Amino acid sequence: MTDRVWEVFRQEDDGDPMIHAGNVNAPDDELAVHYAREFYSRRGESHRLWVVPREAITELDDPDLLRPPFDRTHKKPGGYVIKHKLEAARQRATAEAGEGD
Amino acid sequence: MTESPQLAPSPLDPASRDALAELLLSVADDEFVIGFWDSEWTGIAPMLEEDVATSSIAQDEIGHAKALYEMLADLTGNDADAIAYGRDADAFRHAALLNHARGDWAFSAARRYLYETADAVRLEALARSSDPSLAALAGKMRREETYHMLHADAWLRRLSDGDGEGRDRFSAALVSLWADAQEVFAPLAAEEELVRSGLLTEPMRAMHAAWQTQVRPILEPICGELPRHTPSLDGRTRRTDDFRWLHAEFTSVHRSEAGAQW
Amino acid sequence: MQYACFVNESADTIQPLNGRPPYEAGDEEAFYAHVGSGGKVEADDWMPDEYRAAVLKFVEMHANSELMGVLPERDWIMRAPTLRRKLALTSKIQDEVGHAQLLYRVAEDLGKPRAQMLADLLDGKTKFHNVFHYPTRSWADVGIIAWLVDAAAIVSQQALRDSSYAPYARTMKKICWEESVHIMHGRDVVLTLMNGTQSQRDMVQEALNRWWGPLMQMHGPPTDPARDKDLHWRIKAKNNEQLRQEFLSIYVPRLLELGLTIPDPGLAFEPDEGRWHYTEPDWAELKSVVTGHGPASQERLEFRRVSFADTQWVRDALSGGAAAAA
Repeated sequence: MTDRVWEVFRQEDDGDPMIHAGNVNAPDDELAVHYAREFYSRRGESHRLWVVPREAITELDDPDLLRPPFDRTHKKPGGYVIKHKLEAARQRATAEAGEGD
Repeated sequence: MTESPQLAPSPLDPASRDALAELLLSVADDEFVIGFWDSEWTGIAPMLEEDVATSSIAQDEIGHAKALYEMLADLTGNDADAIAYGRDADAFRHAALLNHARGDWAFSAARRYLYETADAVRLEALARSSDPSLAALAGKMRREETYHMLHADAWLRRLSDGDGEGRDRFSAALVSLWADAQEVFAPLAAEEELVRSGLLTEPMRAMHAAWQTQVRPILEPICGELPRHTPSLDGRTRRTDDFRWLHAEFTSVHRSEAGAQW
Repeated sequence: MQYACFVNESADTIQPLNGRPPYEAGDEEAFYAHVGSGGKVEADDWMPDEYRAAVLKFVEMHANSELMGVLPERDWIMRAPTLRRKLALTSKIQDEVGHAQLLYRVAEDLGKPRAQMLADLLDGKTKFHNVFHYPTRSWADVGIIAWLVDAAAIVSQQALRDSSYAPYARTMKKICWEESVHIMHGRDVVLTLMNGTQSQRDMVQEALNRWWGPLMQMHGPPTDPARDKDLHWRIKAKNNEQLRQEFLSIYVPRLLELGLTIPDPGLAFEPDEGRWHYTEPDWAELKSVVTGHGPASQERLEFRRVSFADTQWVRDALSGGAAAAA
């Protein structure tokens, strides 16, 4: 029997992201959907499923593209560490306020 | 042990209550016995994925049977497990269609198709029953049965496509099961009472006719013209050696220790 | 979503966390350093042939065991004595079939077709775990197997959730979650029997007497960690003895508290050593059993062969008709 593989994505509850859950072998699309339901929601554990033929998925795993080496911290919250500056500013402001008395 | 608390027998008048009990038992026994035969495929179905699917469907049937036995238990002041496991083989009231062992994959698929289509007609009527609990339960069952029907239909198409062995086996199975399939609509003793009280919205023979109209155009292109049969008076009382074997098996542990908890 | 940045509190600047450079395809040393320090491998990543073969062998045996594991309990689906037990047992066995599917899928993505794996199993070329080579004799066996055999398996499987081979690790998380329900079902069956009649209690003790030996052998003989490649490459994370000790620590007290006797007079916990002492399992028996000489090995393999042969026409029918469906 010539099987193909379908990847299954599931959503736990309404509004949640679709998360990859696993894959099934099936002879065609229709049975792939039945089997996806069996493996990923026979216990009622999923709100929604996406059933996608494996060949429809394009994978990107090149670290040079996904996590290139140059500094990109300006693109993330962690790139704006203000702890010391804030401390310095507070101290100065407190001192100035004290001088003004 | 049933999960629902023991209720006093229903306030229906005795004639209606007995009629409803007979109706519930017939549907419950159908679901129970087909669930048994199909659960035998667990572990040995043609493909692993299909194994899991078939097992779910069989478990759904047992679940439906359980709910129906519990409803019957409430009605008669009995216990669901006692009803399921405590009767002799001759006291079962399933349709003759369910008397047969599971056979090969085509036989099970053919029987499944015949049963699902007949059950769909019956459930559609029960969902309009004058008894609100039965109507609600039938409505719930229909939601699960939708998936069963899709699956049975998927296999009918796959097996009957082309001219190969699949078609031959499936076709032969349909022909051999056809007469017994009519018995899902075998007349019930209390049918007049059931229809009078609205528990059943129409007699079995009307449902039988509707089912015939629906399935002949689908089945006859596969297996040729199917004979006309009317459901028989003993359609729910005749038993076979296959069923007696099944009964002996499924009661064996339960009977090994009378009154014990399991 | 984690915004992973390592902040050096004593510096003015922060350093981004890029992770270690990936290993180059073909660089075995870098690969083994990667897996040895907790790195993960996906199905499409380059991996040394030896690693691929080791993972495949491990996963294939696991898959085979799930598939063969169906058979000891399957007979009892028919005989389950209540509606709820019938549902629970059918559901459990269905899960085992599901686990076989999940594991064969993982193995197939490593390069071995499912049909080949099934053929090798039926030809006796590949193995399955010892416990599935023994007969079941009573309803009490159903409880003991679901509780203790699944428990012993879950002890291994929890450790595998951190396997270096990521598809296997992810599958193990799903499997562990599903197995936890089986253990609850098994324990419930045993408890109900132990609270029942004397003959029901006797049935449980008798089943435990027969299953204790195979259970003690299940995790395998202690291996030399220095030579255990599966450990080195973190395909598995704990050694056999660690798993057995873990199993004993959890389940011996739970058996004793029911008034059951464990049929090993040499079983005792040594507080000074922090470990269980037990009568050395019969490793020769284990070896003989897993190579197909167990009491039910051939009967079960034959049953599988027959069922597989009986359904070959279905798989063949689907090959031809696949394009015509829906």
